[in-house]
Amino acid sequence: MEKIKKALAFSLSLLMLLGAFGCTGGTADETSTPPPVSDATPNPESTLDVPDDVTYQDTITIGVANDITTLDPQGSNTDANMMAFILTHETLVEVDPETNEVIPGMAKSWKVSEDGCTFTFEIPDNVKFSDGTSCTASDVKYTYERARESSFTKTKVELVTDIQVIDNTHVSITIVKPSQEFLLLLAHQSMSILSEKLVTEDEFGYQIGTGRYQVEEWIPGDQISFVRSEYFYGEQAPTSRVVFRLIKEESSRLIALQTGEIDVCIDPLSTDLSYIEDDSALELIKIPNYVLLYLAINNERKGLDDVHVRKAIAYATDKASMIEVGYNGEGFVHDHWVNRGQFGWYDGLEAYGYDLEKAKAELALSPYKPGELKFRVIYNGTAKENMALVLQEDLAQIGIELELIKLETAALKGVLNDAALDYDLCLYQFTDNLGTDFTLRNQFGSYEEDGVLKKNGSNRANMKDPVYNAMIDEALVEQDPAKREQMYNDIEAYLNNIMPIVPIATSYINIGVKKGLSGVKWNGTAKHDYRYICLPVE
Amino acid sequence: MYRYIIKRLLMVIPVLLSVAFIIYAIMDVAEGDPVYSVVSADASEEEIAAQREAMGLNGSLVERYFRYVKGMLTGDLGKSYVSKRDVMQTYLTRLPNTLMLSFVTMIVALGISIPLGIIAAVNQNSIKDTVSMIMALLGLSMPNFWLGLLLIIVFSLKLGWLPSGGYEDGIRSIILPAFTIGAGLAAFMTRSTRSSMLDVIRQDYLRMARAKGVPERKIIRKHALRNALIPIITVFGVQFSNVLGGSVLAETVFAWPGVGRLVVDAIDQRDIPTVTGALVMTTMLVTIVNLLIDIVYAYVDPRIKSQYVK
Repeated sequence: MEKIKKALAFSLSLLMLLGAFGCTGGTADETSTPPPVSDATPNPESTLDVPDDVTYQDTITIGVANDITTLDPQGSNTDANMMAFILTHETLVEVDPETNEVIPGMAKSWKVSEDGCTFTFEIPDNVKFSDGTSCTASDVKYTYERARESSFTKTKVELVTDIQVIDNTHVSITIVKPSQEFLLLLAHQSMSILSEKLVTEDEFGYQIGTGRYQVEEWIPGDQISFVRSEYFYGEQAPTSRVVFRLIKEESSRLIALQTGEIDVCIDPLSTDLSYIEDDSALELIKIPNYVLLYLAINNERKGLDDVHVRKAIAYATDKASMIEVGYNGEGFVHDHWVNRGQFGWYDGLEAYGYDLEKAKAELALSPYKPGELKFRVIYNGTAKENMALVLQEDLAQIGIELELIKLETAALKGVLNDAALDYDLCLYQFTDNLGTDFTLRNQFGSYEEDGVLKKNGSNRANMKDPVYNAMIDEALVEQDPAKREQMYNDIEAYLNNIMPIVPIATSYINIGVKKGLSGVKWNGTAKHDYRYICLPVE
Repeated sequence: MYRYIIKRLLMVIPVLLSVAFIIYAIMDVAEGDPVYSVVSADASEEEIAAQREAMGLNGSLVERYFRYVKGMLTGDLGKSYVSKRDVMQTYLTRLPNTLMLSFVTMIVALGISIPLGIIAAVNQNSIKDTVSMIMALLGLSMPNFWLGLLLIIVFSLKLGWLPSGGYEDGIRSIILPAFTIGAGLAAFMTRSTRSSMLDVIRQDYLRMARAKGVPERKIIRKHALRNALIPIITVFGVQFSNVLGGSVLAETVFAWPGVGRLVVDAIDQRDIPTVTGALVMTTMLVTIVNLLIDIVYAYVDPRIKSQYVK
């Protein structure tokens, strides 16, 4: 323990020195990076929690509910895949899930030019991919250029105008305008650094990264195992092998934890949590998640284009009951437009509490009379089906008829993403937590093409509002944190007034683990970081 | 006999072509564009068009079908839209699990149903018959996902004898899923065996054997059961084919990576090459099993064999 403390003290000192060098060194026109920089060990607490006189299990098995679909970091955005990339790849920078601060990833330091548009990153000279080949600045450039080609990553690099490889360990990235959230975008796992040589020469070369682990075997539909990469340049992971085992059935997953076949059970049934709490060998971890459940309203549909109708729907939405039937009570009412913990959360926001009288009053302000409006609501899954039934009942009381249509996930995505946008209402969720701008821009923003406003991908409200676009553009480049926070407060209030969607709830992420398990960074986006996971041998 | 086998094998070709076309047509009309399984919500119209081209989704249903058949004839079942992996390879990874589970399941089903069916028939209207039929009724009416969970709780959680899922523990892993699926099949086959045996047991030739002093055990085993086997084999063949297609519920409860789950997951993701490839291969397998069953008929019943020889 003493050794580790000394090592931490040394690394912190070293980083402070590096930080100081970053602030004062370099060319005259450069200043230090605006976001706070923590120490270079991405997860200091986790590594410090690992006493050196304890023997750990060689293999840790994590029972997961969702299968990996691809090992290409730029080929998807599902949580299941992202958790694999955290093990096998690295991003230039990372986000501390507890503080939301940007901390070093592969890049040990970075500098930002005075105009806030050029970021120069320094990567260590001994970084290697798990096949033993070296990772250089040109691989960083290749990765970000490749990111432009994928629909999953192009929005994260759309501000980038130029990438220059200065030498093997330095790369500079220029963006078109200052962005307070650019580094957050680079921290997303889909921006993991790839090897140009491997990706261009091998069909599956993208699965090789510079992370602490490498893929040992992937059996789609069954499990994926990772073993420590012998070429990792930093501190070795305490556990030599990590396995994600797919057990789709929740009860079976929990029983596997109880019998000791797995060490971590992700997302057990909320009705089964007492089995974990009552078992002295197990521990229940509950973390509030960032997945926002909301009622998407197609703002261009007749009837729904009226703000009073949308507000009436908001007042008539009994969020607490929906949480009860959908999440078994394991959730929080959500009235905001940014995620909990995000910069710009407005405490003074006036919530639209469940009030049928107010709902009727709002509807009376619209040109529609009770009984004249009928909408279709689409959704997937049993939890949302139960919630939709509550909504149907409540809206019926104010004279709005709902037709419920349950779809398979692929069919639902098809309807939502199809250019025809043939839906009225949809119970859906928004997961990403890459920063306030990313959340607001993706959910409600639009862009101009050939003089016409087009909605952003995740803008399920189909909202095209130039005033709103100007507000978020302005907030993004504001350098003064206090002013910027006020701008986001104003944006929350603006959205609250036009009610493009109805935010409903966030829930808990429940995880059952064996007692003694440590080193995991549990994440509210469900992208947990298992790089330092360890479990003492009993 | 060989001509008959070759003829039956040739009949597989149009069956496979038809199955492939039906699956293609169904997936074509099903809601949900497969492109959205592999692009994000931010994909532009150009990107979607390019992706559609890359996935071979352009052209009419017939054009796409013929492109697929062309590949199929060379053993190429295409690549998964989602994982980008070779469908044949993925299927072959799952097939041994499904085959192993199917064989053990059928052994369990036969091991329970044949003795129980015979006992019930021989002791018709007795307490043994009633108990056998109650057991069969229980097996038929119990949902197998529920039975599976019950078995896991007892044998894995409480007693700790068997693993609750997966397949790493070899034969120990297969016992619970095989019993879960096999219990339902055994119930159905017990009733078939009983009814088939009851038909035979009253025949004159058995009465004659008894009159000649042949021991009852020998009468049942050699004369009654053999003649009652044809309907039992038919039921066995149908059930075996069903199991080969995968038992999705049991595979899900026991985290058993078989063909059934592969197909269901692929349907959910609109992964047409995987759905089509896996179902075409399963159809081929089922056709072969049916052929084997027909051949077994011939060996069990000389009258049928003589028809083949003609």
